[in-house]
Amino acid sequence: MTPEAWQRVKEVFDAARQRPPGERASFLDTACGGDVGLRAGVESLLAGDETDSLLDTTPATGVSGV
Amino acid sequence: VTDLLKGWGKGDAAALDRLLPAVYDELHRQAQRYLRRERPGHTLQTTELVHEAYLRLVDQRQADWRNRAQFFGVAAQMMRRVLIDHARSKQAAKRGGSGIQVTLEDATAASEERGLDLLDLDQALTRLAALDPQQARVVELRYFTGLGIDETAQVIGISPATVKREWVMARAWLRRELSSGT
Repeated sequence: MTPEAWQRVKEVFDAARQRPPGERASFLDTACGGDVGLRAGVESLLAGDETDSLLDTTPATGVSGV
Repeated sequence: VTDLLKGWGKGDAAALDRLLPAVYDELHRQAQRYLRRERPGHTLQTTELVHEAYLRLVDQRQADWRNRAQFFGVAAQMMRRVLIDHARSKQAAKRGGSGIQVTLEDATAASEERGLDLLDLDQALTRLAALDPQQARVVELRYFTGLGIDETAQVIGISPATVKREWVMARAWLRRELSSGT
């Protein structure tokens, strides 16, 4: 992906997140037009967004039994 | 270190070159020291480690909030490196059977449980930095040093709302990258 394409995905992703889940599909219809790649990119990001707990905990250093 | 931070703040690039190894060494040393001293089962968050390093390395009487922000910016990168280096050596020890006793159960232990491979994360983060340096910085600061939204915003010099947006998207993107197994 080029940084330009990335910026576009970022904009649409942000905008889509502001909308209730029920309205996102129609929003993406308008925002992506016929750009299938853009839409697929945004949708795959949205899919993992809501339930995402990845990276919620910082790495910890601990001690194993010595 | 306080002087190096100030020098770097004034645009002295050589100061940064000397600052990075100093911060790395301190974080590395402290990680080791904690592990020798503490009881088994004790967990030390990297956040704590970085804060301690700050208190030890930076002269509080001379430092201002800008130095602090600079320090955390550097420390996040170095903390990432300490953890990644350790994950690598642990992997090498497993393969080589060198007999070296590995006592540092850092991120690898915490994140393996969560199905997160630190080395994969590191590579994904490097790819993200190529697309979006600011977003990668947000992840580095928040994940590797545990800074909050507001602190992260202060270090980078952007608004908390932007940090939040970057963080949400970075997380979604990294999740996708790490689960697709590429």
